[in-house]
Amino acid sequence: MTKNPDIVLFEKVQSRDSKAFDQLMREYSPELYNFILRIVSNAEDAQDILQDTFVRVWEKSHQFKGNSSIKTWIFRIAINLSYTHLKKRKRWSLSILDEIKSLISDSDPVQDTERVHNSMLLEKSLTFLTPRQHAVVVSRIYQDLPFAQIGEALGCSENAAKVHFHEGKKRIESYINKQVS
Amino acid sequence: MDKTEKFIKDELSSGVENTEFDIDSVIAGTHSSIKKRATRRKALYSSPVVLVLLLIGIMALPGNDESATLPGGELIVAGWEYSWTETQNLDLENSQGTVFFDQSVDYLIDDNYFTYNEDADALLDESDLEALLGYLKEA
Repeated sequence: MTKNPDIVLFEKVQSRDSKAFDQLMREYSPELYNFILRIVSNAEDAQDILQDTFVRVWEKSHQFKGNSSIKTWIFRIAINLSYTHLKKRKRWSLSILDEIKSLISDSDPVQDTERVHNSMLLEKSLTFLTPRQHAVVVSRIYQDLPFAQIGEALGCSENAAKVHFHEGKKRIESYINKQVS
Repeated sequence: MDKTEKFIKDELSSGVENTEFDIDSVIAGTHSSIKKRATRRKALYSSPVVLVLLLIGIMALPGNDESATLPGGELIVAGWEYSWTETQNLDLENSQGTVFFDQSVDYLIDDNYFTYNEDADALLDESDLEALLGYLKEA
């Protein structure tokens, strides 16, 4: 029986093959980058976190025990780093206005205004979430990761991750309802 | 998937454009970071900081000479349960000591000295507490 090519590649990374590591980065980067971008909403930060994620993958590759897929394991590292980044950003008090300004400047005025409006609505509603709720909501809905894996990445239990998810969703709902009504 | 989840998924999928990024610079940056961190790690392991961290880890463990003061021979069962709990606690605290040590080394390498305060903030995050209380009320 042939081995999963991802596992073969990862085993090479575990044995410190830097070419295999480059290949792994090329393979996972696009999806991983888009996922991180959804959490941190900033292209530059997303690229930095992507880089940090791969540094951790290289350093901790021997800790991978095969309890989840390699992809899930790498995404867990990315969630953890994105969450830490959101916590720091909260500490630096990046204002909601700055976020919206950057969204407006990035958007093309010719584009469908409703889509831009909805996108801004969601983006603004996400800023009312705690970093943990934000990370859980994006990981669950965008990446469809199981709560157990998300909880492990964020250092909380599966049930706590569910609580953060429902509370986050409730906050988004309540913000959107206020804006729409 | 309910209405809200669908809205979030749709907007997450289309809201932020898939920005192009330079994969080659990510790869080069990653290799450079790995080398820098390896150098720092090497310097750190040869410094007294690690010894201090180890000592703190050891001191955090409970002493093994603590024994239960059982008032009579009739409490053999209670004594067994006590010893068993002690052993479990020791295992737990031992593993916590190892985690503490690993995290400390990581944080020092990252020059991330305020992480412990951040963790404390996370524990005291009022909104998280609110979320939990709301959940308990609903339950």
